[in-house]
Amino acid sequence: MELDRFALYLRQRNPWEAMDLGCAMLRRWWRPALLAWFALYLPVGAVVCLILREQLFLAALTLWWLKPLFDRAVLHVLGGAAFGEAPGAWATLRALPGTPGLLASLTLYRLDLARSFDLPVWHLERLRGGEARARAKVLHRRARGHAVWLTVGCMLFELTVIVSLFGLIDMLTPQPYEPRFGWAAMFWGADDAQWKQWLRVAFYAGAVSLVEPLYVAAGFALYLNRRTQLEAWDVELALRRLEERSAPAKPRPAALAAALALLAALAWLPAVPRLAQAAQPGAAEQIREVLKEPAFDQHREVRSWRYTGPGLSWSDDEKPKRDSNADWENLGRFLAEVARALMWGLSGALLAAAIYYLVRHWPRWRRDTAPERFTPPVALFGMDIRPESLPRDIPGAASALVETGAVREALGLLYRGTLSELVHRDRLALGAGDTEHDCLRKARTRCAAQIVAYFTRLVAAWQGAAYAARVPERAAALELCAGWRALFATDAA
Amino acid sequence: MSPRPGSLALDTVRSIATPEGVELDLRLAGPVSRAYAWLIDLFLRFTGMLVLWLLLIPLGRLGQGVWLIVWFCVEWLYPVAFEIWSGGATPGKKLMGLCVVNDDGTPVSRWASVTRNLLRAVDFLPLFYGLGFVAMVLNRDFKRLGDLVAGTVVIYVERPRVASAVPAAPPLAPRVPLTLDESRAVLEYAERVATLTPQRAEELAGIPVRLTGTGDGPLARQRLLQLANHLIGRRPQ
Repeated sequence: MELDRFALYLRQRNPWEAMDLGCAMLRRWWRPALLAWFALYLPVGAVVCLILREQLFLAALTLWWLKPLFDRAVLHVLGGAAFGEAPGAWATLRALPGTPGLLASLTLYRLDLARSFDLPVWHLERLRGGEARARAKVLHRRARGHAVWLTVGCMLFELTVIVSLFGLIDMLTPQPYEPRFGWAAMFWGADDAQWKQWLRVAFYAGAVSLVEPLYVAAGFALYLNRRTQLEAWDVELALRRLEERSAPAKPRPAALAAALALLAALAWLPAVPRLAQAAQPGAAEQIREVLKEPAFDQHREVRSWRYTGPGLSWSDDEKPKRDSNADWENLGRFLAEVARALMWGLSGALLAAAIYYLVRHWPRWRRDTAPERFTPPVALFGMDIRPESLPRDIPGAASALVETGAVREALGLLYRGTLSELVHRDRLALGAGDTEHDCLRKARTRCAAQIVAYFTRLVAAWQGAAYAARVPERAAALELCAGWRALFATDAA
Repeated sequence: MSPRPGSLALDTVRSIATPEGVELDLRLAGPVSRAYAWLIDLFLRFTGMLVLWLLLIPLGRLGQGVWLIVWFCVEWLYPVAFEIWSGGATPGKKLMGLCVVNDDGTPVSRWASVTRNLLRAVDFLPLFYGLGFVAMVLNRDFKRLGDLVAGTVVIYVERPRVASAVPAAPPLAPRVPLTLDESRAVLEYAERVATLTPQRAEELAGIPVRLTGTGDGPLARQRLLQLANHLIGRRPQ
């Protein structure tokens, strides 16, 4: 074996990496490998399918059973390619019949889960029977597990590709035709037409043709990795290189003659200045060559603003060209117009909203700012609030009412009294249409803090009593009376 | 990225030269290991969602709603979250010794991770990553479509295990200076000599005759071990 001509980089790989190397092998030698594969698979497949055309399922099963045979075609090509030259398809087919273990691999070892890993032992090492078994046993140590994982993985890949092909048909089938061509119809549709059976076999064959070469290549790479590990192929190659380098170079006759001639010529030359000698004639060119390499390639784009004088005045030839980007520019202009329209619309809407707001709220501001011309209303909510209509001692009357149990009436009296006080004494501009909360809000704008606080409590109590029949406790009512007296009675007295 | 320079031999390694002049080797991961990583992740997610389902069933339709929301989040964010916050690897990838990095070997960036995982929806087509598998087989760097768009690759992180102990022998300096690769070869030999059969070990030692100065197997083997001892810095007392 000549490792110098070995086409794979030799190093220690973990087993998964080795499988990936198989994938890379197939990618490099896909042409000879697939040619050999199809040269065997297509004719055999066609014959099997024609013989079993009434039972195409059996044909697929037969093709599946014959896989180890087809595997050998791929392995033969890849084995040749790895160690030198990839054999042609015809040479591969002719080499197959004599290979050892063909029958065993189709019968005894057909269900072996490390199939592609063991194949090189038979096919490339040409071992038979017990010899092959012993050899495989050595190789299996610490490697069989991964070989089995590879087999299971490739089974899954095959399934994936088949399912994907059917899925593709399903995806591309328009809705109305689903019952005939859809996913379900392919497998358990009512009619199992002949063409569906053929399609299934074709898809199976397609998936196998994609995955099986990969499986063989990965198994082969796994096998090579194991041998590299066991026999230190990578070390052997490195040591050979070392030996080659340290071997003194034997000058070949022609080279020797040339060297002698050069020596002779130099003797006749006049003494050359050292500097001139150092600067070789091609140096400048070499430097230019080196500087052309991407590593020295430096382009920098610098952008900056530059004052170009007042106003924009492009002469015709300076105008930016618009031919190539016309479409984009038109789009941009269109978007700009849309944005402009939006802006005007938005501004108008804002202006209208502002005017509406002013109009809506202007009267109230005016009323608030002009309290002097206010004439107090006679009644609010149908309640008479003229001071004359109220008793002189409002809190006293109210507490008397509370004592008799008429808390609601007492609150009403307090409320009326408060409104009367606010309107007549504080000149609060309450209108006939104001609600309780309008009164409260207006009181907040003008009245003292303690009055507002009291009024708030009173309004809450009054509203509860008047509208929700929630009459406050006696003590709370009396407290409200006392509060009224504290706030207003001093002036009234 | 370029294939390993100076070698036409086939490998799954891509070399990256950093501006500092350092060569980084990315050992690219292919379909088989990545498929298993995905299956492990699928299993983990499935188990988690099953447990959650059992926990949420008593809550009735609220539970169903919550479960569906969690499912959506797990389905889309599980890989992104792990890739961003857990060193570029989901638990499945971690178990398989894989890791996602940017094309230039830097840790995967946020948006690259989001992109490559959103595009799972495309790779999944027509069913079960059919498109992703084909893309991975055809692409030189085993990229699925999401990786192509996001500019990421999946690589192996852990190194293959090698016996690192060099058997002790009286150190001996080499007669000719060795290049880096040659020193490596001698060391590699010494480290792995224990895993080889004695015949093979002697056969290998017989190759560099000029270095060992002998074609005799056992003696050459001893010489190589002595050289290795010198190379790792052991010196005669």
